[in-house]
Amino acid sequence: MNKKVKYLIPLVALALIGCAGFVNTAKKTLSVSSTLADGAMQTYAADWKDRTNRLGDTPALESERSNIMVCSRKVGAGIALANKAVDDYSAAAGTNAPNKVVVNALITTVVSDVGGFAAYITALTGKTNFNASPFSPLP
Amino acid sequence: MSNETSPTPPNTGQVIAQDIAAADAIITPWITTLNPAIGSALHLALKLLSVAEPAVYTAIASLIQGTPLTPEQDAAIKAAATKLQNPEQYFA
Repeated sequence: MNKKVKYLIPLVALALIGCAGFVNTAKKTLSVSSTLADGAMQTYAADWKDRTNRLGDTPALESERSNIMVCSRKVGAGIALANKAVDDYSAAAGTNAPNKVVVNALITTVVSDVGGFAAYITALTGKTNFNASPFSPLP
Repeated sequence: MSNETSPTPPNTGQVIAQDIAAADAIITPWITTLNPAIGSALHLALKLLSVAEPAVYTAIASLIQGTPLTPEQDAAIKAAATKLQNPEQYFA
């Protein structure tokens, strides 16, 4: 995923969230993002195991895996937070329910983080097919 | 012996082109329902995306067209978020 696309996807997602059915589109954006991140992590883990089998469990590989796990936790926490925000918005849960601007900001952050995460794993593994969409199989 | 040849299966490029054409058929009419200023800017961004990341482009078409998430798809978001927050599971 090149840099232009990395920044383009959040913009498109933001525009879609602003234009289409808000909750539906927000949920679908999170669904695509979480599937992409999960697929990227599965790809990384398989690649890491393969390299570890060939090269041995070196400090460099452990350090790399540690960095990826930090990113994974951050991405997962972001998805969980944004998902809860959409649920709260949808249910209009009390006066503390987040408004559209907050939910948009959270989702845009998630999409941007997942884009960066996928780009990072692509750079490490050389693999790009993470089976990103649960709605439309990748070619 | 017959001279007929079996049809050549489409190559990856042809499949991607077909997917993009199908996505165009969904996205282009939808764009016309938007405010023209937003629509033209979004159309340009989507066109760039269709060239750079065809899979994301077709996923966006599904996003526009599709019905709300099923309860299972909704639950899958939480499950993925939980798993990503516990990345050790991927290496088990």
